Amino acid sequence: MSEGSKVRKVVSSVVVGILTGLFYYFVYVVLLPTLFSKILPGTEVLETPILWLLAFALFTGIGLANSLLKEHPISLPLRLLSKVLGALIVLTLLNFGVVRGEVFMGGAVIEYSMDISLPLYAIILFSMLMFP
Amino acid sequence: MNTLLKLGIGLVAFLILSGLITPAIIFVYELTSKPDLIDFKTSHEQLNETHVKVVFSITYRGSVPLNNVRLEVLNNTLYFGDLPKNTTLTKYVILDVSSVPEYPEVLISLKIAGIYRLELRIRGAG
Repeated sequence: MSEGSKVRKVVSSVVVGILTGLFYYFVYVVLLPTLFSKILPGTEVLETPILWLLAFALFTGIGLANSLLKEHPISLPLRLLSKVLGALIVLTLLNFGVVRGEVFMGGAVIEYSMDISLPLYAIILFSMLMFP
Repeated sequence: MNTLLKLGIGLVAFLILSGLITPAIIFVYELTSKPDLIDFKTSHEQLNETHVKVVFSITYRGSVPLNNVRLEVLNNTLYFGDLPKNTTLTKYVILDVSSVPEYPEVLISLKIAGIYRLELRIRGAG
């Protein structure tokens, strides 16, 4: 293999890795929490820029390592790590599926909380099985 | 094979999620379309100078069963159990009038179709 094709292979692996990381970031940090907050307007999506930044760095980092070490056996645990990390981030952003809120009715304050964790876990599990 | 497997997983996911989400959709729809879906009534009867009997009655007219219905008021827990369609359950509690605040806090907890735990904490009701 010539020097040029080696460089091309590494560059393409880096690009694929970063894109995969961005894809995971988009699905777990942007898409799923947004979808849940739209379906259930009371869902509390935590505003944690540090967590988003950390998730972005970890997803792209793991995606990159996974892409560069595609032939190596370590790529499988790295891929699993991306998915588990994604699930944890979605759960953290959505308060582990507990929707809370407060309404005022006829002079009374009604605090409500609803546990939607079961369908949330099912969606995360199936998204983990369906994505690459 | 891989595509077939993913299609299979997708189908299973769709069926399971439909089964999980349908009761919640029906419950929310009935809650918004039927004003008398859950009828919660209280009445009281003076037993003597110091004690009063408070009767709580819940009537449910929805099609999604409600499970583990529980009511907590002034450190008393009333367990109503399961509420199928068109059921009225009545429980009572005997309270010491001297210890009853003007606006007691009431906690109602239940499970919608045994899946979604719902808790309502009511404060300051007149």
